[in-house]
Amino acid sequence: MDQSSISTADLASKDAADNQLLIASRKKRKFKENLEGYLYAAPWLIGFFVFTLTPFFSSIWYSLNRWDMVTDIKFIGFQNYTDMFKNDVFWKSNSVTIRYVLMALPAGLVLAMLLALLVNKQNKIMMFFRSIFFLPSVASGVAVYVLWRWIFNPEFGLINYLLSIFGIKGPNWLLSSDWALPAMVIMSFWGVGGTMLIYLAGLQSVPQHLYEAAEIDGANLMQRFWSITLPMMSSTIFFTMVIGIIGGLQSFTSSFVMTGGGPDYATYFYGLNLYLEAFHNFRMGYASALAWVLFVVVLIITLVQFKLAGRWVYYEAGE
Amino acid sequence: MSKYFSRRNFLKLAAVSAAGTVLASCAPAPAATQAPASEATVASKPAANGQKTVLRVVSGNDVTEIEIRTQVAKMFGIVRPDVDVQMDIVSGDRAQSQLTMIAGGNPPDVLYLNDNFQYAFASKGLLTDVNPYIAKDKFDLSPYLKEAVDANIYKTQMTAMPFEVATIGVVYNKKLFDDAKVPYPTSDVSDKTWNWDALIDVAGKLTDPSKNQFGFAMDSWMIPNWVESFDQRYLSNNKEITTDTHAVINNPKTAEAFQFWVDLAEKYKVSPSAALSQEIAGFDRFMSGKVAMYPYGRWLNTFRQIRDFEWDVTPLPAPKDGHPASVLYILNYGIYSKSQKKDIAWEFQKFILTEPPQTVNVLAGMAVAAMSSVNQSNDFLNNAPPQHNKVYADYMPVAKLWDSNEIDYMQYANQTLGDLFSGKRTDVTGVLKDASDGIDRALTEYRTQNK
Repeated sequence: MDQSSISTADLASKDAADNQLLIASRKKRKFKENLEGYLYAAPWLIGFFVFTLTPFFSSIWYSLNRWDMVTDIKFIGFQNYTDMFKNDVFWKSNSVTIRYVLMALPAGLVLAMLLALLVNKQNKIMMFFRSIFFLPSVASGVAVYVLWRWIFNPEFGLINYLLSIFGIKGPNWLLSSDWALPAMVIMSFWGVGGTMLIYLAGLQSVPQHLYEAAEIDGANLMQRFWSITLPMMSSTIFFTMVIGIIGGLQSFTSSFVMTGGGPDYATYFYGLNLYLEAFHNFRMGYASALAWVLFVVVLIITLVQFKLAGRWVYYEAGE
Repeated sequence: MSKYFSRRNFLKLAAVSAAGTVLASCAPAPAATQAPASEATVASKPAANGQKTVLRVVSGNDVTEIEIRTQVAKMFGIVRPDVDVQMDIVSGDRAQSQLTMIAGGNPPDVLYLNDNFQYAFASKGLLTDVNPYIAKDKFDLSPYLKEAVDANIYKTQMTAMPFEVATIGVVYNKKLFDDAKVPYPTSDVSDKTWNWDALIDVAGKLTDPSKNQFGFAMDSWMIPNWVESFDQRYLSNNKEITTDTHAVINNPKTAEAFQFWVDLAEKYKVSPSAALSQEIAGFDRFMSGKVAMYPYGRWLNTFRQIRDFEWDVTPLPAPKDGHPASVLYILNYGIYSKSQKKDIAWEFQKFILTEPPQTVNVLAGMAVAAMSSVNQSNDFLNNAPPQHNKVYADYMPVAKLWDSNEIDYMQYANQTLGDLFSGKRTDVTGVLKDASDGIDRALTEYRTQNK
């Protein structure tokens, strides 16, 4: 058909039809692409829904009940929460966990920063030491904690042996209610290599021209560190601090394997208390209440950190 | 990749397969045992109609134990060819394992019970009262150790039946005694010269720090035996927690027992310290020939693997103003309250209390029989090693069930006792008061939650 003989209205309607076809085709293609995306993500989504989200919300209900998993569930309202706040062991576990985080986290971050500064040189020796410092954080699990239990043994452990060379009689470490928690803190430095690597990446992203300009202005090493390195690293430090606090408040494996929470509740972490209540005493309702209190506390602390971050965290992108 | 089977198609297929795998893994698992079928399933004579009822019975995971339980299951299969007894092997914390099986909807028919958690199971209604069965069959309980039978009574219900018991003796390394030219200790339970002072004296002669060798090693869970020697207990009553149940360990006699245990390492230096014991327990030290004397129950199948030295058993010494005493450790079998095979489970319980299974069990060195006559038989007494099995049998008249009830009350006391075991605190009286307070708090909490 000769297009010159087609009327404008016909052309317009033809264009409209074509547009509709095009839009429908685009929608269909987009739907198909979205479906494919969801399909690829399906295994993870199913797993997340079944193993994370459902238990997450179920535990709210369980926390309002008394349930040992083998007898009938009984609704008791907020009694689990009131019992918790009246329980000495609950407060002891809080105290131990908070003290552990206050001791282990700052020291760990400082150590990681020092190591990162140390290995922040591009030569073969430092490349080698980066691997050496990072290697322990790769080894994890129960075997590492059993190893550390032997290292801390007061009679034949490595640490007391080394101290004895200098004429120092080492403490009873894990057998002493005074030294058990510090021993856990020392052991936590085993995994500092991971944080060191994060800081190393942060250090290498600090623009060199800032250092050059500071040198020209006569700034010494410490001044460059405090005025350039730390501020530029503040976002990285903030990240490790948030993650470190969340992880520290959930500590469990070390005390479960090494001390069982003793001696005299000295290493009775909140996570261990939760586990024992759930799987040793079979008080699922109470344990669920413990879990939710932990969640709320961690959430509040994290939100406070984000709120305060505006005062000291610098993002180069200007967020 | 070809157009027909593009990367996109491959990824789709992989995603669908993975999703299917995740969904399939969520399907309920069929009932299964933890042991390979060749070990757990007993071949029985097929019943006339070819149908067999599967009876699931829990067993511990010790190799000898599995062998014995399987042998007993086969014996039952001869009596009841229509029943296939399958062993559900549990390891680690047996109470936790069985509760998990029940909570997971995969409960066994016959539960494996020790005194430290049997009453917890009973209080949760997990055990069947077999009194009606006893009455119906007029089952005679007189041939069995009364203490072992009474241990199963909870709030007037007979919640389980005994199978085996154990009393405590002291196994000793004859080679170390020979090397030190020390005479072997007595095998007479009533010999009053074999007391704590004599033990310290003998252990001192057998201790050699240069060889990392100790004369005596006692793990902390043995403490109740010393405490019982003074007629002392942990609780005012066992089994059911009443309004009056409270801790009674805070007294001078119990303090003396604990002090003796601490002094073994700290004062007399005949035992490894708490630090050394933390990593290498007394059991391992005895097995490796580094400890001359080690108190233990008649669970001797592992000791019978020792090839480097000969060993025998002597009574547990009593304090001067105490008396021979032994805690009675029990292993009972209870029928799960919601089992669909209670009748068959009861038949199994009755069968394992007959002489052949009781004899087979003790011949393996596993324990002392719940049936009294078996413990006086030549089969038991001459079942060497040890040469003097009579020590375990002679303790029967004085053996008493230890304090246990519906909760694991000792977990609260052990936190405080840990300071005593480690040597951080030496004020035994103060430690016992704190431990007593811990137990009482646990009891109060239980009463509050279960009123």
